[in-house]
Amino acid sequence: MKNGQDRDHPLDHYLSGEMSLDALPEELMREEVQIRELLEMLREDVAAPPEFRADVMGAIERLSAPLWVRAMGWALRPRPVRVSPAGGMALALAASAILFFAWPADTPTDGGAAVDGAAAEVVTRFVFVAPDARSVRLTGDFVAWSREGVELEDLRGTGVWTVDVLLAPGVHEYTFIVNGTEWLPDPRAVSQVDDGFGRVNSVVIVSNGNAL
Amino acid sequence: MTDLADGAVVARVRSGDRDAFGLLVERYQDRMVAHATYMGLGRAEALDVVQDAFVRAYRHLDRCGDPERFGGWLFRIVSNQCRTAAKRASRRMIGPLEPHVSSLASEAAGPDERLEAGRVRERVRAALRTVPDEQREALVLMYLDGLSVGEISDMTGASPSAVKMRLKRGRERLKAELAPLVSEGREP
Amino acid sequence: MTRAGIALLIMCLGLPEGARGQQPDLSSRLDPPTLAAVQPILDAAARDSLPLEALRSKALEGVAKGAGPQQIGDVVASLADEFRTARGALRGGLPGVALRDGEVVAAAMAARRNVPLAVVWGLWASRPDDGSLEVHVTVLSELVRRGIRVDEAATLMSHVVRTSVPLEVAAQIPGKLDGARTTGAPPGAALAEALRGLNIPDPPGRGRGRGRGPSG
Repeated sequence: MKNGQDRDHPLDHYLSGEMSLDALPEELMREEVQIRELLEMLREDVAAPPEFRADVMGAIERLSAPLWVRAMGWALRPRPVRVSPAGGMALALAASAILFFAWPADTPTDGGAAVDGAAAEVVTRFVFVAPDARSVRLTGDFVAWSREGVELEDLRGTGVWTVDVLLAPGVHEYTFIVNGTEWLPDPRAVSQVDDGFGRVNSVVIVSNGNAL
Repeated sequence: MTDLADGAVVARVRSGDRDAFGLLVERYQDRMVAHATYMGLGRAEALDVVQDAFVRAYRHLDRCGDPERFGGWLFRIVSNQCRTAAKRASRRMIGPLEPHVSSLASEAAGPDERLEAGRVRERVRAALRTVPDEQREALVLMYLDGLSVGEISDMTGASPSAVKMRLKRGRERLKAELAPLVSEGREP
Repeated sequence: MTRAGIALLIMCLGLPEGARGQQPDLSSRLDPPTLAAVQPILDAAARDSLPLEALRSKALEGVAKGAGPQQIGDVVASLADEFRTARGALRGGLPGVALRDGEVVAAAMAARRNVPLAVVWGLWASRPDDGSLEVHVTVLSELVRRGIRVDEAATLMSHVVRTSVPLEVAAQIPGKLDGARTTGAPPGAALAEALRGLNIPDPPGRGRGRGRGPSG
């Protein structure tokens, strides 16, 4: 849209403050009133809480202090803490370390720690040894825990089931489903975590970057 | 001290009275939190963003060119932080939640006026989130923060004609999202 | 065909719709009682800027594993509380720093391993850019879980962060440590061996088992 056209449109004059609301053509005025009213609905109680000033000034105070003072400051400040039952509620994600066999997909990466959603996915191999299994499937957070999951294949008939999956960089929990019924963790993973539902999940760390 | 103008308070802080900065916090906190909320940030994130902005303003107070207009300078910092936060938030897949919250509310309670207003508000909020960041910012600055095109131009660095373009496109997007509400002339 | 090409072909053959980062709408996966149990928790979590994907994922996991609505609700609520605590602690120690969801989740896990969050946020002080520290926090807590002293693990990971050791190398430290432990070495010595195996120089002041470093 060219500037010349902009300047001739009544809405343009109105937005510039050169024309009042009631000088707009009727349909445009009605539309503008409705838009104003709808947006006005968002104007609710959005004041800062009473302790906000103290929080800001506290953060400023900590700015001037060396790191260790900041660390102690947190440790000494009372905070509400919820204590989980000893029976161990599950922990959901991210704890552990195994980078099984990951190499970057054929897309350029900057080799940096890009683990937010925009980073390139990485091909990651999963291996499960089960000579007597009829089927092995992989499921986890990366497939929204679908029971169907991803099928592994015993390509050489040796009982070594494998599959390669594209995973976003980061930490993922997963498990294997053997013969459609048995949920088994990955013995090759260096960490297992309680899932909170009476079973155990395995964890994989996926990072982009150059292959070793 | 509460009667001191911004310029005088900034001067005090610069001369070493760190606590005086608290006065500026109190003076502007509500308005800044409101802006962050209108920009679509959740409550906790809005508070975090505004707190960060105040801390940043304190750290870089020497860069405030016109202390009498501390509020405007602070607003620019808050705007920038909101823009960054909004970009981060758009990557978090919270999209499916909003419609679900609305539908749960309407299914659960039926035609109740207060619930209806809440549902409409949720739809407006969701619709505003679908507007691209720069256009949403322009709409918020004009319709909710009450700034003129010239003031928005100063704040964002965009030319007045670019600001008007963002406003017009933002309005179009909002209209499209809220078509049933706008065309029916719905009352809040 | 390249190995990656074969891998991608295999992957494409059987990958369900839910893969590759697409998250299904919860209402299509959860029955009404489970949805009713978790939705308020998710709403509160959204308001508090907690890692929503992790919470949604836990709910879906519960359904897949046949858990009942109450149990799923309890598990998700407990997890949300852990995230809330971790996020609050990190925000307290890191004014002005934006936190990623993965970092909050990793910090919550570290807290479960009894790693003080004040130690966790020390990694942010070492960070040369604004890359995510999710992996580093995770590795830190895994080292502690394996018997490495907290201060030693923290010093090492700060060093790894500061010197920009590649992520895929850092992620292998716990596995290498496990390998070194199979020879019966105590945790400290096994860690030194693991670092040698990965070509990660000792942090300044450590120099254990290397015979070289800033001091010697």
